[in-house]
Order: sequence, then C-alpha cells, then structure tokens
Amino acid sequence: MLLVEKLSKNIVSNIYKNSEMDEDELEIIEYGALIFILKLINITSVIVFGIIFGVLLESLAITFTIITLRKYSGGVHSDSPNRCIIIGTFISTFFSVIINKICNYIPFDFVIGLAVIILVFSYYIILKLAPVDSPAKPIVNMEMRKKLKSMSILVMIFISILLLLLSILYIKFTYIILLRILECICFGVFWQCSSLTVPGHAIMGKIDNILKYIIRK
Amino acid sequence: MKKKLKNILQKTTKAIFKGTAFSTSASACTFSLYQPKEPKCLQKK
Repeated sequence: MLLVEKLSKNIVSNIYKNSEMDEDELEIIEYGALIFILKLINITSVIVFGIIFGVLLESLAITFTIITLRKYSGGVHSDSPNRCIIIGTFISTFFSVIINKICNYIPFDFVIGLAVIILVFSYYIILKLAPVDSPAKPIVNMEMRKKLKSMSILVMIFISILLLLLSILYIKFTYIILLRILECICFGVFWQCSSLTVPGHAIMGKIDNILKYIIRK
Repeated sequence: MKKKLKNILQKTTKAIFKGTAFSTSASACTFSLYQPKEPKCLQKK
C-alpha cells in the first residue's frame, strides 16, 4: 500500500473506531479522506515552493487554473500519489520561475497573440476530447459526459473573460504582475488541454517513468 | 468533554470526507495527477 493511502486509512480507522457504519460508507469515507489529504499536500507543497522561489502568486495561478479545468475535463494520471505531488509541484513552480524570468522580455502584443492561439487550441481540444476519464474512474454515463463537457466549456468561457479583464487592467495600470498572472493562466490552460491529447499522455508517461527511475535509484 | 470533542471531530471529518468523495464522484477526476480507484458503491450513485 502507498504511504498516503496508509496514512489516510490510519486516520480514518483512528477517528471512526467503535463507531457504527456499513462497509459502503466506510469505503466512501476512506476514498474521500485519501483525496482530501492528497489535495492538502498538493496545495501546501505548491505554496511552500512558491514562497521559496518567490513565485507564490504565479504558481497558485497555474495550479488553480489546472484544478478548475481538470475537475470537468479530466486528463492523464500518474499511478503513484508521491510522483503526482512531485510532478504537480514541479510544473507549477518551475514554469512560474520561467515566466517570472522571461516576462519582461516578451512584448505585450506577442503575449496576447499567444494567448489567443492557446485559447483557440484549448476550445478545440475540449470540444473534441473532454471529458477524458481514467481506468480508476471510468465515466460511462452519457448524460454525465455531456454535463462534464458543458461544464468544461463554461470554465473555458470564464477563463477567457478573466484573461480579457487582466489584459484590460494591464493596459490601464501596467502592473507587471497582471501580465505574469495572465501568462501563468494561459500556461495552465495549455498544460491541462495538452494533457487530454494522445501526445500529452505520452509526454506525461515519459515524465512519470523518468521520475520512477530516479526515485528507485 | 473528551467524548464530546471526539464526537465533533467525527461529525466534521465525516462531512468533509464524504463531501470530497461525492464531489470527486461528480467530477471527471481528482484535480491532482493521481486518481485513486473509485469505490463501486459511488459508481452506482
């Protein structure tokens, strides 16, 4: 059993010992506890590394963009919670640092052009592929698939409006942090939508294997 | 007092964990890169 799974099972058995509940309810609580603990560790590590590298806002922007879109569009998964935490934190922090470093050298017009291309690509991918399920959580109900696709499109519309607002605010006040957050949101959308595609699955699988090899060594 | 606190802890965590499980069940997946196997009883609901 994996470490986080052990931890969540221990927490659940300690809290609920001597309490009466059926097997189904216990299974639901264990599942919920594991996901809750994973969420907590994920967000805490993004915050800690964001503070260490001085990119807290940027890494949170990437993380929350991916979280919001992923909830409805699905995507590729790692088969270990430990590697999932490492990859998630690395993506948010590393790309925030990169964006932070190169932001001053990229012209605003180029950023807007790139944002439009990313949005067009993302709408196309979501319309074509979302929701992408996994063997651990298959989505077989057609009604649910339709609902999740509609929700993904709604989230994309919300993100597009947010990006438009950020660009208008940047033009008006020229605060560089607004441009950085805009770029981070664009990256988050691009990363999440790429993870829905076949090449995205392949790249993610390669990263996962490399990490598996490094951890074993 | 200890029993009362344990009761509150049980009720609160039960609500949080169940809420997380049902919310994930209504989504495409968890937001992290790891998706634990969904319990069969949740797949039916």
